[in-house]
Amino acid sequence: VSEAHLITRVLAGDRLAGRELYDMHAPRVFRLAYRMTRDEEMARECTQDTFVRAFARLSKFRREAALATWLHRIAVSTVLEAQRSMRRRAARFADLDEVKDRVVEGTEHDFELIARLEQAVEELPEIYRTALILHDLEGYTHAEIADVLSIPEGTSKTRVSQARAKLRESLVTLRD
Amino acid sequence: LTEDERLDEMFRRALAESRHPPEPPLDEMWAQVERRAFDHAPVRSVMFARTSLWATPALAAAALVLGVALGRYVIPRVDNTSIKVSQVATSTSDAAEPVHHETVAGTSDTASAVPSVIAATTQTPDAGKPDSRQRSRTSSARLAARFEDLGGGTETSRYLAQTGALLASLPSGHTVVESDTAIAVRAEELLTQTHLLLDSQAGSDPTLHRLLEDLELVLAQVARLRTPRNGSDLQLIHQALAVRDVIPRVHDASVEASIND
Repeated sequence: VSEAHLITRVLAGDRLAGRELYDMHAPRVFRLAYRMTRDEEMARECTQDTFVRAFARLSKFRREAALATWLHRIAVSTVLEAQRSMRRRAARFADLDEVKDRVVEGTEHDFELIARLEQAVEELPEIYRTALILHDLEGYTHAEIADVLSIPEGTSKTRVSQARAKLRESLVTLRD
Repeated sequence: LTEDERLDEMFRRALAESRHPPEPPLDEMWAQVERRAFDHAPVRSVMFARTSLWATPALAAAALVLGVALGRYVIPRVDNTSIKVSQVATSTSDAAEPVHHETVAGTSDTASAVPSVIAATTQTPDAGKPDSRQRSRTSSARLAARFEDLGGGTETSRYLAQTGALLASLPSGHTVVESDTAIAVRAEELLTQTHLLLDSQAGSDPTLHRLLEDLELVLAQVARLRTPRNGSDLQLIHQALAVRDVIPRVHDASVEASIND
């Protein structure tokens, strides 16, 4: 069944078609939300909100872009809104104990590196952090990031490059 | 690779490890998505499809002014006229008495004047001492008829959409509730419209009438949230909504009304 056909069925109120679309895209939306938030509950809420918003606006989806890109645009927007409104960032600063709990045994990276790295990522301006996560962790191309964030491709490249430079600067002591 | 590139790659792998996502609880999340996106979809679509209603506060203000005007001027005037007409009806020997006309909301426009002969024919022989309940019922019916003349069908649809939105936006009953004046005031406004609709032609439909009666009770409870309360009041409201299946019925009626618009 084509995605376009599923969309038509969802617009007619077909829940099963909605579930099919959800199954196709929810895992990646959840993964993206988790990568951006590092908070399972928040990622779950943002994923749900993303699909609720998407289904409510589905009639406005112009089908010019891929549905995945459209969904991820909503997801990024949802996550950023949630982060801004809930003011959780300060509370989400890396905590060594928390990192220890989540890093599997036998990791190749030491806890201090990860803790400081996470803190440095959280301290990045939002525009750099989002581009870095989309590109370096989620594997988006700059063209895809440009679509999702509605920015020129060159801006995406600049933001990722700037984000990496800022991380290196923040963690310069580790280099020694 | 340059040193910077090696560092970038190390950071990327460390972050990927730190932010490795757990398995998504797909079924659990879908249950929420389905409930929010599909169970209330028609209500939501009515709300958003009618954005012009929300975007035109002048309409709401006009409705409020109309309600106040009708309440303040029409009811007393109808009552006085009824008394006068009753006196005319009982005074059969006074044939020279001119036929009375009631005017709506005090207007002197004769084109909008409504002959009060109908009122005269509905009076009982002892209407010289009018029964207050009968008079009230007559006034209420006239008010409702007037309400319908002024677009009651559309009002029903709008009322249902707005009531559905209010009930759906009620906070859960699991937390202590601060004084929520905005919700209470809105509930009071909708309660007034409920009374008007109950007496209107729309209220003669048995299904809608039962729904309006349930909404009357629920909105009265919500209107009491003006003062700070604990969660138990809201829990009671939510229970009432659930037991009487109010929100799905509002949704069904809203769809029905929007189709009939």
